[in-house]
Amino acid sequence: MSFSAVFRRELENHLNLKVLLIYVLILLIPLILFSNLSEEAQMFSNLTLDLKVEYLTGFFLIFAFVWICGFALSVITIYKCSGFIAEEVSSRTLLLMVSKPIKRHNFILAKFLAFFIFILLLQLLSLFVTLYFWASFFKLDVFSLAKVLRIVPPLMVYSTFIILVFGTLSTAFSSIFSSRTKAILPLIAIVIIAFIIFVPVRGAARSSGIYESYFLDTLDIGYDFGNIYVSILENSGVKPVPFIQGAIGSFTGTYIIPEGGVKVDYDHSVILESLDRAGYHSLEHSLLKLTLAPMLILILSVLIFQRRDVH
Amino acid sequence: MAEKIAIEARGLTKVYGFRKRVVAVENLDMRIEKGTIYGFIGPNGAGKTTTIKMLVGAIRPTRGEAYIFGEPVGSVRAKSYIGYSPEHPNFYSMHALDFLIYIGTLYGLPKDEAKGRAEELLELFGLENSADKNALTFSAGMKQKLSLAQALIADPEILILDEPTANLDPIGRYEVLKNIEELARKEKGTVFISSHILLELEKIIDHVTIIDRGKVILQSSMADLKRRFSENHFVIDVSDNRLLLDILKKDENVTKVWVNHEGKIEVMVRDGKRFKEKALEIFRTRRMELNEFYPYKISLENIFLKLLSNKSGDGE
Repeated sequence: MSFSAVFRRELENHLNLKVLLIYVLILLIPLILFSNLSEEAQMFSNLTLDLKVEYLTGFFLIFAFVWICGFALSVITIYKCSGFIAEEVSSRTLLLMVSKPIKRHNFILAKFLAFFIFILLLQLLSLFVTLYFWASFFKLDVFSLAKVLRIVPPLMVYSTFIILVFGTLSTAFSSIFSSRTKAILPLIAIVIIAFIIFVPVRGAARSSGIYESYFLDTLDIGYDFGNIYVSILENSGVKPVPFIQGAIGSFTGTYIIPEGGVKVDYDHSVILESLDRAGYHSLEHSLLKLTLAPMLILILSVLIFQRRDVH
Repeated sequence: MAEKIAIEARGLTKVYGFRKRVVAVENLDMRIEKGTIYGFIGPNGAGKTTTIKMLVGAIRPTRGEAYIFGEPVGSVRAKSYIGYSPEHPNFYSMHALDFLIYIGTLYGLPKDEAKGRAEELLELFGLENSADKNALTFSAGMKQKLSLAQALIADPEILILDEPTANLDPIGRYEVLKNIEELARKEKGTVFISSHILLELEKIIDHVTIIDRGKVILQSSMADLKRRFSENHFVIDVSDNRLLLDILKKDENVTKVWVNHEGKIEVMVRDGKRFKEKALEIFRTRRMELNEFYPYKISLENIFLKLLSNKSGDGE
């Protein structure tokens, strides 16, 4: 009963209209801007319907990895989950809560579960709305839209993974640190390194050979996220055209981009063969790397929180 | 739950810090029977709040153990018996009514029942007109009352109140303590209450523990305590107080004698029973007209001050 009470209250808090609007804006604005500003958008008007579907899907997959299922989702997850305990400490409500008949770990779990369900639903909504918006912008018919929408299930699987990894870590940090800032900063740093800084660093390091010789692949968790992302897509039957694979590869390092880049013949067709996967780590390796550490940290932090004195 | 002992602590100890160790509570033993209103008093920093936080499961004891109706403190079952109001209550940004309903559901009350109970309590504490106001905007006194209401929401077997009247005006203090006493007597509940306002506290408590610097310096029922501190202390008013003062000063049984601010004689003796017989004999033989002769009615505050001054005297 106590668990469901905390769960219900947290869910109601998330469903607050103001908060909801902020989330939707964070998730959608860059995509809407892209559809208006990108040069590629102009290019679409000259393509056949099938190619429009291919390219729209492909570009969306890149933006999904970078933003809607990447940076934006992880930052929202980190921000919310890092406040689970830290916010209770700063508002001095934790003392009252720990005196109530609910186990401390259930208190955290109820909060996490409420956020998890909320953000998954929001993510699903964001994906549908954005794809619909793009499809309408590029004047796709209903059948073509249906083809584009096949990418939603694998993107939801990847989103679940991202929420679990960053939610676990930020919940753990929230129970260890009393300050939200202390909990957020290391995680935001990880996100920036993984999704932004490592993109140019990886390219330069690979071309100079130091990526392999200095085992940078073991530090490059952006690659592991990309590896999982591409594997989920491929296992769901979503295989982008080589031009898009090249673009995804430049963000994730998961594809080997041929020298001189991927050539595309707009008048006739795209190159038929697929790009080779980089294969630094297996899917299992990447999954283990990105789940084991957060789980261990979470278990440790819950144990610490169980024993923590609350004033 | 057939346990007669509501709260039991054995050797409860809390030490803070690693390098610089601070003993907040040391070897605290306590047995509080069900249905008792129990006062827990001591100067600032004595360890009252730390003890209370250990009982409600917020702080882990360094050593020792404590039980709520036989359940170890901190367990969900132990906490389900307790309604706790902290010294500095804080709330979520919620309407007062919603907050109480939320706390009620944490105790497993169905939402409708929690709502009914919340409305009752808001009325009891005079907050019915603020039910739909954000609890964060409440004055300190209103917050204190809301905190008491949340502690009572699930009709707990044990109320643990840390300075429940600290932010209230005299009328508020009187009303709150009256409510607590009425609820405790009616429901045969147990109340464990810490307060600085001893004058008001002594009107409702049955038992008291006084602690200082983390250690218990006295544990007693109020009746025993007053008897113990009053049986050898008398107030006398006769027609010739000056003569009586001179006579008592020479008496071996008398340890201290003085004229108080009302002009009456106060006398402390070794053997109260023997003194009463001797005094009556003096009045008769010296033909003194007797106006008043009664055991001194000592207040909890005086006992508290006396014990603390004795203790600091011992230490010097």
